[in-house]
Amino acid sequence: MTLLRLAARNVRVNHRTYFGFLASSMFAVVVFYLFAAFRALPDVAAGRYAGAEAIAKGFEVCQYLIVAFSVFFTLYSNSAFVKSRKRELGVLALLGAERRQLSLLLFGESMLVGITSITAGLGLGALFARLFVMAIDRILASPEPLRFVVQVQPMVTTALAYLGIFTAVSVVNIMPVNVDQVIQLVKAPHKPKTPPTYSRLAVAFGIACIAAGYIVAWNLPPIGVVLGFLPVTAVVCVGTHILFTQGSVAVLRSLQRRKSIYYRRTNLLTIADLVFKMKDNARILAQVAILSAVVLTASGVVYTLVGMPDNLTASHVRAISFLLPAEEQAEQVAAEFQARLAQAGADVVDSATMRAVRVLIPAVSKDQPGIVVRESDYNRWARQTGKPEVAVGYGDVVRAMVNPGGDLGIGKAGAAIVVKAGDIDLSFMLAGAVDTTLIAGYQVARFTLICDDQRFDELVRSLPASQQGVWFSCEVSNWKGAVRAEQVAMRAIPADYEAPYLSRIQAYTRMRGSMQMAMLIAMFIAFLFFLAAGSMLYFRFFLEIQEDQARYVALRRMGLSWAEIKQMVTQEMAVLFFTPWTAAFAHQMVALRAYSTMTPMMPLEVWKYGVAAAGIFLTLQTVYFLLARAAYLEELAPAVR
Amino acid sequence: MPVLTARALTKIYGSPKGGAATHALNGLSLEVDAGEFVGVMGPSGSGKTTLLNILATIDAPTSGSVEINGISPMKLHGSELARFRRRQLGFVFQDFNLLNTLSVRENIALPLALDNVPPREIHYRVLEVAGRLGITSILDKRTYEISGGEQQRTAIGRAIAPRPAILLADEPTGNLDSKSSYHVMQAFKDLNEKDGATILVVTHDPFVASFCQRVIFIRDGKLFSELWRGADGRQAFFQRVLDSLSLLGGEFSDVASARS
Repeated sequence: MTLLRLAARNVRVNHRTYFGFLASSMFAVVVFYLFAAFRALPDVAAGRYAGAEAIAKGFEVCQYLIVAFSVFFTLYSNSAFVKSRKRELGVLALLGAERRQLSLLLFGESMLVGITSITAGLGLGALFARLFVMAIDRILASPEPLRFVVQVQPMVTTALAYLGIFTAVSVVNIMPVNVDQVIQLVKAPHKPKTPPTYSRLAVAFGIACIAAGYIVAWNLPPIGVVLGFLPVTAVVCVGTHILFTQGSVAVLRSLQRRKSIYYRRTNLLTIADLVFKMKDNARILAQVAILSAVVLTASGVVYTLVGMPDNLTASHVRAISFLLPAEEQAEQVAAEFQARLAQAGADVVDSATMRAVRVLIPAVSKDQPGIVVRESDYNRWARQTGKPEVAVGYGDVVRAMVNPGGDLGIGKAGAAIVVKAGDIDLSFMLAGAVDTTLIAGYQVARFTLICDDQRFDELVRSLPASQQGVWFSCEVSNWKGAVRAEQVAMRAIPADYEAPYLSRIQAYTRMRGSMQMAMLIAMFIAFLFFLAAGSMLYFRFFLEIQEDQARYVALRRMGLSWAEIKQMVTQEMAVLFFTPWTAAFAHQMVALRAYSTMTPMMPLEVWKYGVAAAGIFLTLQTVYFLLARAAYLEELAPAVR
Repeated sequence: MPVLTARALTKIYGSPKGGAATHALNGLSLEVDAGEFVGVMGPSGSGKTTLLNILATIDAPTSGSVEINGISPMKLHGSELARFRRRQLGFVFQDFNLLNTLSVRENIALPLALDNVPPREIHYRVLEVAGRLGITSILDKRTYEISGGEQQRTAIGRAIAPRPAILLADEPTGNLDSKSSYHVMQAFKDLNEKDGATILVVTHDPFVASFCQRVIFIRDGKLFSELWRGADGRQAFFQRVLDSLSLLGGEFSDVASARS
């Protein structure tokens, strides 16, 4: 039998052990390839596709991330594989295998697994590439569709990148195989483990760390969130680590002292076994918990951002508003715009076309743009839409506001205000405020003042045309779906008009696109991470399967039924799989609460998104858990059942 | 009254069509009465391990029947069989099979916990069993902190804690030095004489067999001869066992193959 054959056989025999690693690497290859394939598309590469450049840039960063991740994951898995096989290697060494041969065997095995995952990953990637591009095309909602082309170059890039990773890692991992050391391992069979201990002080310190982190995070003011982020995260990380290494033992030990629980059927075995399993795996579990918390929090945040466009009505009070130059045909342009908008399927709820004087109000940092409109224009619109009308005395102005007390602090009622129209200072008396939706919104005008007709007409006569305009605004009830209609309507505005234009519709589409993109990327990364975390846990179980098998065989003879053994396996696996999630969920909730202070949303709203993210994660984790459990039981069954 | 009755046990390994079938057991019958201490001896390949596996319900005979305490375990399935094993049968293995995640106390408590015996009762039964086997002082030690003899006595404690109908031992001293072997066999003897425990020991070691009341010799899967201790002392009986063995012949260095 040649070494390569032996390697191939080893992989085949250990296929269940290798499965988790294979699945994770394969997925990494798939994602890497999809991103590479997108970046290489002719439409994207040539910059012909609007918005694609930014995405391609994002994908590039993601590719680096994935590669870095793959290196670490492969390194960890491979070293664990080698460790788990030391005894077998020892036997081979005793039989006279040279170090070179052993290294070659291990190298062959890991390369075989690596090449398998590259091939399978590229196959799956090629299968899904078209779907992936279609999904992005849909998210971008661009007028012309993105063309999909199958290309060889991204495949080669992916294959080479991963071949490089696997080769490098394999070489690094076979270095420490020391033949003499390995032979020692055969002679000294399994050393019994001393029961893990814990220190009460350490557990108390761990709890204190987490409690302190939580309390601080919970009460941080919005400004403190940025500053406090690192220290709080560090403290919670330390706490999590201690709780997994020490706290887990403490909890299980206290269960062991409670005989009514401990001496109850298989609990005796399960708890005693978990003490060892938790302690052995504490570090990896803590790492999984911390990384899961980060991924969950990030997904929760991205989730809230996807929901963000729904809150755009605060920054964009009117669906569309723009200023036209004060020319004769301006009103016609506005009318044409509205007609086209309605024709193309937008439900225009109310609209206003008004003469406006453009002004600036001196503010601390920067002058803020605003408009002054005529009282009768305003009241005509108010009558049509059922809003409160105003009566303004000569020289007075009334402020249009969206939320009482909000907007700009431009003075209290009864105060004099001075605004600038070009070089000319205009002074008014602020007579009051009216609650209305008829304000332009920032970019066009951050505030709207209503002036009496007589004074307004004087202003129009005295001011240059450059300080005047025709302000059009409208509200569209189906604004979220009115992208195309708006594009059609915009053709009514002559190209040479440089009108300040503000559209909630455009903002929404833009934001939704980038958020969905972020979501897509976050989903891929989170899924990749989740797969890897699951694989590590899965692998941990398979490391000890032979030992466990012997134990279960003995138990079977003592009269333990297969059903009871299945139950024990399920319980032990469930504890290992789901404790990190539980810790991560708690961390995430607190982190999101801190995050919520930086958004206009209530903590409860942010949590909603967090729970959704955690729920998805839990579902995936459960699926992985069930698969791992089935594979593990299948491996046990022949000997134990 | 017999606790264990085996009738015309036959076990054929390998496919009947293949032609290379091995007859591990060939119509062997056996009866063990309540309170008896029986040894089963035989050379390598005589079928004694197969017999034990069948009695232990781990293996099924090709033909024949087994009855333990009036129940035929071959008719039981799944959890019924598991429950039968843990209530009616006690096992002592050559390699102890103690769980190293558990302390001595917990190892003995295990079968009781599995049977849902109340914790308080478990506590007292463990103390009682440990007292009888002289391992009370090591109850809270881990399994790797105690000697081989103590490990095997712990295993015996675990086997008798549920008060089984019969105790089955497979080369119980195979991994022990002679002093520990003596202690372990003495423990079996005490259990038999003082508590009336029914014990069946499979061994290749005449020293072990000399502790029994009756020794059954099997060869080629059949009963070869039977030896009663009667009023003899242990030394005298040991001589008679040796004599019978020389009649039996065959290879006797089968410690490794006696594992099951």
